[in-house]
Amino acid sequence: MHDPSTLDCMGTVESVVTHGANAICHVPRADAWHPSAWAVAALLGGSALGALVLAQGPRARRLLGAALVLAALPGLWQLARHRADAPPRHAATVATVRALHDALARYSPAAGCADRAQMRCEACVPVVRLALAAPRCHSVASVVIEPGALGGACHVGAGGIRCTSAGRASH
Amino acid sequence: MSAFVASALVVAALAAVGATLDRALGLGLAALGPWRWALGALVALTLVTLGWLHPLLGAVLLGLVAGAGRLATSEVVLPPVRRLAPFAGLVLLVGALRPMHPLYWDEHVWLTKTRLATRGLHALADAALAPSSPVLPRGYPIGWSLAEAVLAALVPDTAALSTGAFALSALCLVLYVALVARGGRGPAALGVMAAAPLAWVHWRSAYVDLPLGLLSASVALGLEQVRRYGDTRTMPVVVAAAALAGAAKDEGAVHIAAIVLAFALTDTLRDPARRRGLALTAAAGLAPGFTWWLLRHAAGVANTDHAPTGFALSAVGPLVRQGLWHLADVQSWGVVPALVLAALPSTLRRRDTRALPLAWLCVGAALGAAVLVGPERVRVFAQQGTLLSRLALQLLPLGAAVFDDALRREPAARNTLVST
Repeated sequence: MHDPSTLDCMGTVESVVTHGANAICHVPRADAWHPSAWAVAALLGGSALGALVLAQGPRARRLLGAALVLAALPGLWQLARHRADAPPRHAATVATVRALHDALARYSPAAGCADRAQMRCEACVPVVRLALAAPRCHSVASVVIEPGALGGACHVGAGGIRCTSAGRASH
Repeated sequence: MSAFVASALVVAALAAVGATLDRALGLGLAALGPWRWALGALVALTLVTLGWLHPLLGAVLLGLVAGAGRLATSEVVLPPVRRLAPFAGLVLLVGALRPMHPLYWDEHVWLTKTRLATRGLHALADAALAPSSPVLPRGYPIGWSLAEAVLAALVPDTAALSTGAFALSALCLVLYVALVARGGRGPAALGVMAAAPLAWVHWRSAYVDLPLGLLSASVALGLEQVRRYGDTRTMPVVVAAAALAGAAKDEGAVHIAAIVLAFALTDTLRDPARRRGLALTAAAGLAPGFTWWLLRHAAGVANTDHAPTGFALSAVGPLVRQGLWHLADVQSWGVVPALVLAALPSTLRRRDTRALPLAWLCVGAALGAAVLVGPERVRVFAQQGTLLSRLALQLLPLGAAVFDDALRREPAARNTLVST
C-alpha cells in the first residue's frame, strides 16, 4: 500500500531524509493499492460540506475553524512525537546526518568528486553530494559509501575514503 | 549564533539599500508601514540576485521596479489593515528554532548549489552551464541559490547556508503577511496554512516550494489590491516578487504567467494603470527565465527534467488519482484541501472576490499541464509520491487567501485611508 521505507512513519534517519518532506507518515505510491474512490468521496464530500457551512452564519464558520484544528492534530502529533525529526529526536537525527557530511567535507578538498558507482546507501546520496560540492572535479577519488553509513564512521585510506555503518548506534 | 548575526547584518544592509532605492526612485514603500524595511530588503535582494545572474537582467528589473513605482495612486479607500505581526512572529520563531543543517533530500540538493555560489562570483553559473555540468538537476534556474548565498553572507558552511535559506523564506513570509493584512484579510489565511502539518515540515526546511507559493500568492494579492481598491503602492514589491519567483524555479514563471492570465480575464484590463501593472508583473516574472534560457542555449546545456515532450493523455487518469490520494492524506494536509475547494464556488460567484480563486485555478491547471507535457521522468517522480505534494504546497498560500475571502460574506467594513 505504501512505500515500505515509510511504514514506520518516518521513524528512522534514512526514511526522514528520503521522504520526510513528501508526507507526514506514508508516501502514497502509484504502484500500490490506491483508494481512489475513497479519496474522491472524502475530498469532494468534505468540500461540499465545507461549502454548505461557509454559506451559514458566523457560528458555522467557527465550526470550520474547529474542524481545521481537529483534523490537523493527528499529523501534528506524529510530527511532535514519532518522526525522526520530532523535537525530542531532531538534534540527534541532524547530528547523524551531519557526521557523514562533516567527515566527507573534511576529505573534500583532496577528493573533488564522488564515485557514484560505489554509493550503496540511497539516503546518503544527497549528503555526499553536498559534502563534495566543488566548482570543478580535480580528481575522481574513491568514495565508498556502504549501507547504513548514516550514523556510522568514515575511514580515510590510501585509495580514498570509506564510510560504513561500523559504530552506528541503534535508534 | 554567528550565522544568524551575519545573515541579520546582510538583511539590514539590504534594507538600507531598499530604503535608498525608495527615496531615489519614489517607490512609495514608506506607505507600507512597519513592513517597509523587510519589503525594501526583498526588493534590494532581488535586484542584487538578478544582477548577479546577469547585469543586464538586474538593470531591466530596476527599470521595471521603477516603472511600478510610477503607477499613480493619489487617494485610495482600503479595508482595515489587520494586525498580523504576532502571528507572523510566532511562525518565524518556530522556523528559526531548529538545528541549522539540512536534513531532507532536496534540502541538500538546493544547498549544494548555494554552496557552489559561495565559492566565487561566477562559480555556480560556470558550473551550471558547463557542458558536463556537475550541478544537479541539470539546467535548473540558479536564482534562488544566488539569493540564499547572499543571505548566507557567502559563507559555505551548512549553518550559514541553512540560515540564509531561512532568511529568504522569512522575507517571503513577511511579504505575504503584509499583503494579506493590507487586503483586510485576517488570521484565517495564516490559520489555514498552519492547519496543514506538511507545511510545517517545509517551513522548517530549505525546500523552495512553500516560499515560491508565498511569492506567487503575494503577486496575486498585490494585483488584487490594484483591482479592488486601486492601491498601487505595493506594485514595486510585487514586481520584485514576480521576478524572484521567475528566477527561483521553472514553475515560478508558470505561476506568474497563470496569475497574469487570470487577472487579464477579469476586468483588470479596462483601466490603463492596471494594465501597466499587469504588464510590468508579466515582464518581471518571465525575464529571469528567459535570460537563463538564453544563457543555457548559448552554453548548450539542456534542462532535460522540464523540456516539453508532448501531451501524455494516458497519464491523466493515474495522475489525477495520485493527486487525490495525496490531498486526502489527512495526516499531511488535515482538511485544508477540502476547505480550499469549498471556498472556490462562493468566491468565484462574487465579482469583487473573483480574481484570486481564478488565479488559483489557473496556476493549478498550468502546473498540471506542465506535468502532463513534460518528460516522462517528471511523471515518474509524481507516481513515486515525490512531486504532487510539493506542487500542492505551492498552491497553499493563495488557497488560504481564497478561503479567508470566502469567510467574509460581505466586503469588509471600510475606513478611509489616504495613501501618501
